[in-house]
Amino acid sequence: MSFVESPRSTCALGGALTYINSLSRTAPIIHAGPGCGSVLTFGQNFGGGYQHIGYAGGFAAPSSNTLERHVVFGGEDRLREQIGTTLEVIDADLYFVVTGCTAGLIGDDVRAVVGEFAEKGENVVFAETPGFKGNTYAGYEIATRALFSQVVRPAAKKRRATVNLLGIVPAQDPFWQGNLSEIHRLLDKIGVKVNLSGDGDALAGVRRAAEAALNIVLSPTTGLAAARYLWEEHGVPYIQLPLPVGTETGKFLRNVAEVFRLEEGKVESVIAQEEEFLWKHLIKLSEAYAYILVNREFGIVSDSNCAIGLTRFLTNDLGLIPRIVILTDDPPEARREAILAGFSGLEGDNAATVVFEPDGFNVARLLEENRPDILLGSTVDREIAKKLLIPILPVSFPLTDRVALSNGYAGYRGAVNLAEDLGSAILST
Amino acid sequence: MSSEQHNIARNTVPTRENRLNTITAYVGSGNEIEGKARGGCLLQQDRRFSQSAACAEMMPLCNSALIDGNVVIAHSPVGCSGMLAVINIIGKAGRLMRGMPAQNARAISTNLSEHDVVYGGAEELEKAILEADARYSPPAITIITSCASGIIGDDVDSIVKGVQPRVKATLIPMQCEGFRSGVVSTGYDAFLSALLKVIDPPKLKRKDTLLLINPLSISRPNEVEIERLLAVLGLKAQWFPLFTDFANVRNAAETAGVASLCSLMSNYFFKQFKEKFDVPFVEPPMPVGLEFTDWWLRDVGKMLGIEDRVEKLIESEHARVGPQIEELKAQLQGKRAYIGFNLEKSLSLQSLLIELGIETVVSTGFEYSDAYGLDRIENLNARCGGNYTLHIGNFQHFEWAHLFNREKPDMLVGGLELGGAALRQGVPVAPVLPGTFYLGYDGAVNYGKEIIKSLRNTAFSRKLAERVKLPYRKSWFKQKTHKYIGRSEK
Repeated sequence: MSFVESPRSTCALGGALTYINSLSRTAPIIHAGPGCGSVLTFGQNFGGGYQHIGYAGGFAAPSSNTLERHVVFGGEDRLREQIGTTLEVIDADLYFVVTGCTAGLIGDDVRAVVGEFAEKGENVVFAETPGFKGNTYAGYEIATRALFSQVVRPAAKKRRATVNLLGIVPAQDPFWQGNLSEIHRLLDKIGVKVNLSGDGDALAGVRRAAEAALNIVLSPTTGLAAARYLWEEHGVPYIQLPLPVGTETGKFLRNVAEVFRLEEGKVESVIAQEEEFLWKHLIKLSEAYAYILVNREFGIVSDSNCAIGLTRFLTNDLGLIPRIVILTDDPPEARREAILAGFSGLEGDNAATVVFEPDGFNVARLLEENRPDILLGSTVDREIAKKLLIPILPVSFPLTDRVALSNGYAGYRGAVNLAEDLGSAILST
Repeated sequence: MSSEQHNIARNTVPTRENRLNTITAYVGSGNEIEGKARGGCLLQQDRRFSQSAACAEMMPLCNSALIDGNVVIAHSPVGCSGMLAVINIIGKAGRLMRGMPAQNARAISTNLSEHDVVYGGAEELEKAILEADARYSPPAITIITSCASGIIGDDVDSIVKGVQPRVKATLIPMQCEGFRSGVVSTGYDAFLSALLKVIDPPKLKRKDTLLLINPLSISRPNEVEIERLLAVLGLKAQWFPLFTDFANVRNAAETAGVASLCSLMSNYFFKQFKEKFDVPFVEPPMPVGLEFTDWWLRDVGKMLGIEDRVEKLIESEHARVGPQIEELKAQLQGKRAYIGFNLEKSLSLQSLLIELGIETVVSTGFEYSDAYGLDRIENLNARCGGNYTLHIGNFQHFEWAHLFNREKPDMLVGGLELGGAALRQGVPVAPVLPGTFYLGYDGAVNYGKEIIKSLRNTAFSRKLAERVKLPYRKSWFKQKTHKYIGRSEK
């Protein structure tokens, strides 16, 4: 890793916390310095489109607030005390200990301390997530795998056509809830049940994760740690299908249907119905298309999770031209080829220029060198958009000039949202 | 490991805990804290249960990001820069109000990785400094340390000394490892005292100019009110150091004296500034409401020998706004408020609320020290009887929730820290945000009107509270608020 200007993610502890905040009745117990919990959750709240999430999130997150004496003499006693008092004060189904840099560097034996409570039958789990282990995505990977390995029970029997959804990082994708609820809605419609949706999952559901017949990883890179764990330890297979937008969603549904050998006619009729909805609305845009959208070359600054679906919809459905796609999530080297493959097979004579670049200064320079006509990025990209005199639709973290509550861009309904928001961004510039 | 090894930095400021016996855990009445403070038996205690708080790294990072032209480098893992999203919001609003173009904070994280914490982060920091200089040619680059850089023993001072000859920018390291202090303002000390390095010895004295420290929560309309009052006294204000550039920092010692809009933050800087440049200082409370604005002006007047002019100003301002305050009082008399900010701001707003006839049931502060707390509390106790609850906590949401539940106030007078918590418990918010005008005489009237507005439609907080499930056990609300304050840790 290298230094980064205007970072677009927090650290591993931040990734763990935002995942915990997506779980039902789950309290984090942060074993870290006094500022970590506030800095991370305040930042994620504001940067994620002003979403206060979590059962005991934000300032309510229990935290050991380790000081110099704990760094010098060790923080295990303080952690033990904090877990004990948290059980007294906070009424949760699950208590999730996560560690920051101090605990990680001084080598507190968190496993042993948590084990004392687990032995007494308390629902306490832990993940070692010091900030230096990586960014928000890395933290999500560590936390999901840690949780699954500590609570998932061997499945006595598999539940037919039931899936877990993995890979969408809450708030880091400001539209995570809207995106997940659209995928959930469509799976329901073709007759696939969702055990873990990634939004509001309860301990009971996590325990039964191995009963699912399939894990769907909605990202080319994130979500793999938990999926691989469930495959290796519990024999649950997984498929990786990046979050679909627009007609791409048909491919997604067909892929899932194929795994479960669902009745083809039913699935096709759902897809036809949904495409009818999508195009009913896009047809309305046709009269003004030549004025608003035609021949627009677009740029995207986003993470690998979202950029693929956005690029495919804008190119393959809206008929725009990809100019440059900048991926800011710094994914592991081993995943990069698979990510790039997500951008292949675009309509027309189009191949997207895709660059991995987390540094804000370099992002701006790339956009200057490859000036698009319209930019989808984060709020920090507004500065370069203004300089280049191009419209911008902020969609990625940090998102501080929009409020994101239930809106999403995935699937068919999300595609309509995107067309509306993009058109509005262009017209209001 | 010895404590010595962790204090590798020679430039380290003392913690507030050590220097001022600052405490971050207390619940009791205004009268009790006054008695204990006088008796010298107000000691720091730990909490056995605690929640997300704040660390010494936050203020150096946030504040240096708001000095125009500065580049701030956080020598840390990337998460320590998590507040940047918030700083960009405050920065944008603050810059636009001052006629400056909106601009993202120029902020770089050295993004310390697992490799760096094993082999050291010196090389990465050096690269980041050289790159920051090349990218922006800034007048200065501030460098913030973190828990991780401190524990692995990166000697930031030496690294900076090594790189300085290769860059044009003045490098300003700020030692502020998050674990060093549980008191946020230790971070303010690290921030402001590091700036001393770039203040030039004065070549001349500007006898008509007062240096004024502006904390990041005080926005332009408040500065304008202070400028208005100072102009009547024949004085000019030089704001320092936010939303100004380094030219303005360098000539700070040319001023006739220094005061602050938040003495809590500037306490250590003032002493060092005086020692180095012999610029006199005063530490009155934040000028909120009539009484505390009078106090602030009188202290400034005394420092500069213009007491007569100050008395005339006070008299005419009272004659002008007094009747307006009385009008507001007629509408607000008997309302009950919970005040939640840092202590300096809470106590100053409490003074205004007393003038508006509002009963303060709880005053919260993130920290307490006699140095900037006792004289204010004595004043308030004498005026209101001292039976309100004073809550001192480095945040600590469970105690806020307990007090909201116990007191059921008509409003929270607060900002972003407590605002959401209040709404979710059905308490409407009379906000003091970056942007709210509440300082000085006109600010008092304006904020009084804001309070009335906040009480006109309480639908949102009421309906919200019916649906919110707080994460606390019911039993918590039956305990004493201070139950978890006090030691038992081995």
